[in-house]
Formats: sequence, structure tokens, C-alpha cells
Amino acid sequence: MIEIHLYGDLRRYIGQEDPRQDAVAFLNARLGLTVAEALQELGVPLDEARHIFINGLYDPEGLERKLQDGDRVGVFPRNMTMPHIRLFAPRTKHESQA
Amino acid sequence: MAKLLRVNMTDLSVRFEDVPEKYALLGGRGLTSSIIYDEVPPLCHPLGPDNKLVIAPGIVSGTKAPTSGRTSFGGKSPLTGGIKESNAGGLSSQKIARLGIKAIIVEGQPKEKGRFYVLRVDKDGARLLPADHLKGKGMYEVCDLLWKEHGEGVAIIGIGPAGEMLMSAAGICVNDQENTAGRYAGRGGLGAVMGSKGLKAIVIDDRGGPGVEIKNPELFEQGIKKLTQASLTHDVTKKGGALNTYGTNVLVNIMNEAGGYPTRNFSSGRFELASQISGETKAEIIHKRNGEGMTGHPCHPGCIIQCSDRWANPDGTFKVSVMEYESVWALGANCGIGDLDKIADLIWLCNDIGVDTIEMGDTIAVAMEAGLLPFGDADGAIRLLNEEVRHGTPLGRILGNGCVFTGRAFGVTRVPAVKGQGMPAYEPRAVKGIGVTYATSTMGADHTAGYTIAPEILGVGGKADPFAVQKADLSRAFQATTAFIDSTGYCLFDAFCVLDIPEGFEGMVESCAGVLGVNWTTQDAIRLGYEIIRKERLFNEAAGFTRAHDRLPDFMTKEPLPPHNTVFDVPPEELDAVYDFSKWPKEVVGEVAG
Ligand code: SF4
Repeated sequence: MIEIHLYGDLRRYIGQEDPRQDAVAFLNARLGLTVAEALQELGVPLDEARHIFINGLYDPEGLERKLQDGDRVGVFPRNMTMPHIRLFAPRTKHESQA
Repeated sequence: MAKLLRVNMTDLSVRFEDVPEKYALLGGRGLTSSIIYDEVPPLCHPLGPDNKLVIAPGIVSGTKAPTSGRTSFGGKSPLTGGIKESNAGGLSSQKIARLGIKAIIVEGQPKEKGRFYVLRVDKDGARLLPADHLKGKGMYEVCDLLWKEHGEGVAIIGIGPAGEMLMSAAGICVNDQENTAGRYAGRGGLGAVMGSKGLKAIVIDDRGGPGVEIKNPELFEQGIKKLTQASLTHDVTKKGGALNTYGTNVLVNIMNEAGGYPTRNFSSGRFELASQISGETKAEIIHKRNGEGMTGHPCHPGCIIQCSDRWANPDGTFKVSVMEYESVWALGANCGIGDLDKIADLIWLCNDIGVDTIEMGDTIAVAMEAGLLPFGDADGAIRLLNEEVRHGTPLGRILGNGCVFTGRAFGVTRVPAVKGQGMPAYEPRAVKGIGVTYATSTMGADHTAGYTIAPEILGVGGKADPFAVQKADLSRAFQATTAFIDSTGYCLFDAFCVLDIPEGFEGMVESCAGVLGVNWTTQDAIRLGYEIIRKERLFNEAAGFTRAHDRLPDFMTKEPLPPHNTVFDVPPEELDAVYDFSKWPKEVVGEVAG
């Protein structure tokens, strides 16, 4: 199972607009499924997905990443763009291939 | 010509002085730190007669430059024992500047203990008035009474009972356009320095003032045009952008997702109730209650970002300003409290009593860790503030002196502080870059040094990927840039748009150069930032700080933090490189003598 947490205006794509509730979609893990494909399946337009975290790590190339069973993805829209982006160490090559 | 206003609390005299040549191009933090460096003995007691409280508007404050109403407050900190600059929005900066005053220096100490005064500053000069009727009063009542006495619209700078009682967590409050006591120069206990001078409040009435002289109007106009353009187009700062829509509290869900949202006294990086207190939830509740609350509130006239807010009670009546990221975190997640109305009560109390929300949140969490009350006990926390701290009971005085003091009193070893100052809302075990800044900043654990501009401008490695830059180089560059921005009067949140839009930073620098009548390049501006942090560092060294003080608390290097289960493992040599002057970028600062 893969958890996809949507924030801000992206919540509406999975019908969870109350910000007090976590907006989480669950998808079955499939070999080679990327974050972009997962978002498309949920109906989230890719140009609205601004910042992507995989298992709590900020990933500047998050859309391209292949997902694995048990992964948690967090997706933030443009107007929740991150003021402190430069503070986050990106996933290293090693981590993203692991 | 702008003047310095020197207020001597020993003989209760005031005096206007010409601005010495060496201060002519300074403002804000650059000016407060330079005056402290030149005039305050580093080994003096922070609450004794030799310390000074210096108050300075920024270089462009008081002009029509957008978002430029920040006031810097400086002194030797009773919390850290080092130099301190803490700045706030609100009404004071623009009004001080428009009266032609570059800085107010408060020095000495009244012979009679327990007497308090109000300093009134207007176009005719300055005078000290007795303030016996304000003694012991909270900041809300102080603001009401002073508007009644001095007229609506005047700026008020004041301290609550915590400052009068010389507590190290005491901040200095500035009123906003609604006369709400909500804008704080909170960090470092400068409220206690003001209290030690017997100064309860400063009233600034700028009617009929001369205004700010702009030496090169063309350059100034060109600068503010570029900066305004950057501010209005960037996703963080524009209308409907992150700060305007959700306030700084936009960061709750982001930091929580990143596993770097300190929870229950820094024992986890995720808070299971984060969604209850997030920026999205805050905005939704304010809009639903549809009363006197609002988001997108400017903390001073002329702010075009408008990250502030006014929180309403369930019945729609106004409760408190401002529910910003640090305060909501400190008194919320860090104490295990997930209810925005309770957090609003706690922020209201801090603002009234006059204590820093970050330091008090860290302190209450340490008290929870000590078993004084359970995590999540909002009513218990309210009681501690309202019955103990406000009245200066022995327990209240322990808490009012901050998290390190409280940890020591109760034998707690997990105390999140550097140089005596409690940490803000970014977990250094998850966000290691900010840990470097917490460890080495001249201010103690301080988050405001965490923003930067494009690395090629900073001279930290060509057009390199910012992530590839050494953490020490990046942190040093952050700190220098922040010191420059803190000197301009611009709100540090402007840094977000100049971070990605180089013309924005050019505009910021040109607007300052226009006011001062100089030709500054962006490199000159950054160099000024380096000069400021160098002076601050030298002050701290003379005050007794060594490399051993540039370290995070022991527990953070040993206890893995969930969910990433990492410790803070940046090597000591990398921390020491930040203030190793021989490693500073020569192309920016030239040769710096150690
Ligand atoms: S951006 Fe926020 S803190 Fe900065 S000046 Fe505007 S309202 Fe005040």
C-alpha cells in the first residue's frame, strides 16, 4: 500500500476538503508506478503539484520517482510553496535508488 | 539631518545628538549592533546600568517602500549573555523614522527602584513622564490607556509585568493599527532590559514630523519598483500566495510532512494533531466564524505581503493577533496541545504578560517533561501563565526565566536551547542546515537567519546547486544576508521573493542606496551583512563565548528523532568553520583579520 497525503487546494481532488481531516489516498503498490502516474490516477493535475516529499524527504524530482510498497508521499500545491526549500537536503542518488 | 535620541534613565534627561559619520549608512540591526559593540562593555550585567537598549528603524523605514516597517531592538541579552537584536513590525518604525530619529539609545538606571516612566517622543522633542498608573498592567490595558492619553494612532512600545519583573523571557511589544498588543520583539529577554531601565513604555507621535530624506529619489523609485514587482509575483509573497493566504502557519503541514515539526519537547518530528492547528485549518476557522477575525492582515501600514491575522472567538468576537507559525507551534505541538482556541488563549496571555511565545512554549514543554503537568494540558498551561508567571510567584519566576533555567530547576536534561535561548519550530535533527545556524548564530538558537538569496549573489560557489554547497558556507551566507535585511527595515519575509528573483534583491539594495545617496551593489550589501555578524561575534567573544557555545544540546547528538530516526551529526569542524574568519569568502568581504 502507498499513502498519498494531499494538502491545501489539492485536497478537493479526493473529496476531503475539511483541513482538520488528513486528506490521504491509498493506492496498491505496482511495479514501476511513479508519483506522477499515481497523481494522475487520483485526478491531481501535475502542474498543481509543487513540492513533493517521499517518506518525509523533500524530493526536487519527486514526480519521476518510482514508488514502493509502504511509501508515504506528501504533495503541496503552488500556494503552499515552501519558503525554506533550501534548508532541506534532497534525497541523494543513493537514497532515491534504494 | 537625522539625529540620535539619547535617554539617560539615571538622571532622567534626554538629549538629541548628531549622527556620527560611522553610523551614517547604518540602520536597524546594523545600527543597534554597532552601537552596542561601541558603547556596551561586553562583561557588564545585562540588567545593570551599563547595558543599553538601542531602538532603530531600518534604512528605508518611514518611506513609501513596501513592507518596510520593522523596528530593531538591541542590547546585551539577559537570556544568552551575548549581543541581541530582535525586531518587530507594528507602528513604531515608520513613526520614529519620520520624526527624523535614526536611533533611540536608552541608558543608565533610575536610582529609585520600582519607579517606571513613559518616554514620549514627538515633533517637539522627547520627555519622560511618570508611569506609576501603568505599573503591573498587562500590555492590552497599557495600549488602551496610552491611546486615551496620547491620542489614537500613536505608536506604543511597551513591556508587560514580565519585563517589569526582569524575567529573561520578557519581550518588547509594539502595537498595530488596531492598537492590538500583538507584535513582539520577543527573543532574548530585551523586555527585561527595558524593565531594568525603569521604562514601561515609549509613545511615538509623528504628526508634524519632518519625514525621511531620500537623497537619490530616482534610484529609490527604481528600487522599490523592482522589489514590489518581485513581491507581487512570487508564490510565497504575492496576494493569494502562501503567506497571504495561510500566514506563516502554512509551514505546519510542510514541516510535519518533512518530519521536522518538533513535538512534545522535541521528542518527535511529527505531531499527530498537526492538521488541527495547521495554516489551512486556521484560515478555514477564521473565515467560517465570519466575525471580527481576518487573514491577510498587515502588521503595519504599507505591508503588501500581509501575513498577519486576527483570530476570532467561536462567537466571532476578536480574540488575538497573531496566530503565526512559531507561536502556534510553541504553545501547541511542542506542548502536545492540538486546539487552536486554547492556543489562542495562551498566545493572548503571553502577549499581555509580555513574554516571548517561543521561549514560553519551550519552557512549558520542559515543565511538562518535568512532570509539573502532563503534555496536552492546555488549562494547566493557561494556569501557569496567568497565575504563576503573571504574578511573579516563585514558580512563575522560574518559568519566566526561560527553558534552560526551568530545566535546571527541575532536573530536566532534554532542554532544546543554544546559548541559553530556546529553539524555534524547526527540528535540527531533521533539517540539519538550520541546526548549523542554531548552533553558530550570534543570537543563540534563532530561526530568522534561515533564509537566503541565490547563491551566486552570495558568493558561495558560482552558480552551484545550493544543495551542493557546504552547510557552513550556506549558513554563514544566510546569516550575513539576514543581518543586511534586518538593517533595511524590510520585513525578512521579503527575503522569500528576493530568494528566487535576483532583480528583487537588486531593488531592495537600490532603494536603500537611494535613501542614503550611495552607489551600492548587491555585493556591498552582503559585505555590510558580514561586517555586522563579525561585530556581533567579536562582542560575544569578549563576553566569554567560545566554540563550545556553538553546539547543539547534547541530547540531539544522541537521541534519534522519529520519524527519520536521525541524530544531529554535523561535525564540529564544520560548525567551527562558520565563524572562522579566514574561511569567509574573500571576493565578498576581502581579507578579514581574526
Ligand atoms: S509580511 Fe507579515 S510580519 Fe512582515 S511586515 Fe507584513 S504582516 Fe508584518
